[in-house]
Amino acid sequence: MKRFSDHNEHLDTDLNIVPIIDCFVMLICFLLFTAAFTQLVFLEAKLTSNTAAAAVKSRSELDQFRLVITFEDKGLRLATTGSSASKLNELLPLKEGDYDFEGLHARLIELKTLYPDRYSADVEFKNKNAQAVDYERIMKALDSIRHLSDEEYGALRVAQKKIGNLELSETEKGKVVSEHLEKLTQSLLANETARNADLKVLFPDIALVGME
Amino acid sequence: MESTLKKRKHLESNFELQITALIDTLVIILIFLLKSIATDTLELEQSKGITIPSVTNGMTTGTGSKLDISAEGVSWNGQTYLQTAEFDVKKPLNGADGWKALNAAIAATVTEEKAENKFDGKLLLQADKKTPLPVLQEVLKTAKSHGYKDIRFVGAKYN
Repeated sequence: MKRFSDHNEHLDTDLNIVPIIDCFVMLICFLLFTAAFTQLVFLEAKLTSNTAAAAVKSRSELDQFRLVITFEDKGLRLATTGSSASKLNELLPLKEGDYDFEGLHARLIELKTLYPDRYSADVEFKNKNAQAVDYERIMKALDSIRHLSDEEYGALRVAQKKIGNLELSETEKGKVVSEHLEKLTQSLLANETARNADLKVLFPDIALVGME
Repeated sequence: MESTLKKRKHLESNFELQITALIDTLVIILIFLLKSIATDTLELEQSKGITIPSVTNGMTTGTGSKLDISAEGVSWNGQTYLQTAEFDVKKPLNGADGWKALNAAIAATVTEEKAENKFDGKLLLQADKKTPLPVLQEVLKTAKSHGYKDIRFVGAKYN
């Protein structure tokens, strides 16, 4: 009985949280030193000879659809050929003296909407001033051609949920989906091949023609 | 005088440091840092003297032989073979020997990997963002002549 009464006694103790704060501070210092705020990633492209036929693509596939992005002195040329493609030959002029990669990306989203089950693109270099193209511009081109940005992909997921009448989270409800991304989502979901593939990619199978 | 001392003593005895807010802040910082840490990253170190261009996205898992191009030279798997001034690969500082050494090093890697059935023709290219197209063409021509056809262009993604 005495034991019970001992336990019921009120203990006026303070929890010593100084060690846990010390641990937190040390952990934060450690994380700050080791955290990688930038991440090394890579974008893959194949090197091909002068003709895209040399690429690892079947001849029939190229006969049906071929998308070519060409670096020219005046800008970026976007061209499509093939039996299942409407012929396109468009120049995206230089914007403030530099290649318009944003414009290229926007046009490629439109093209992907038209051809949702096509994944390959060729990049050619036909500029006389070879110094105008450098590693950064090649990377920007690959980045624009290959996939949607994280933000665009987020918007696409929202559009996908809306089409499927799925419930949206509070953050998703506030997200504005642009018209061209909405059209892209509809096109991708309507196509069986595209529906089952990674929705984030545009034209990931890139061949660099005449790079070597 | 006596009353003032008494008051001060009384105040000191009742003083308690409010560290709840401090703990809250520390926990939030901790969560933020844990969230921002990149869990998957490429097994590659950024080479010295190279400013890598930024990209919005890319792949993080993949291997390959490492080819680095900076204004000062061209390296193969971490070893500099071609010494240049301002990307001038046509006239390397170490002359024709530089190109010979680079070719020999690439050939040695290919032979070694082929003997172990590991050769897949994939190359991790890390170049300075200002590397001109003709320099890339020249270096990649050499790499392709040894069988490297899949080029993995390395960039930096900001989290």
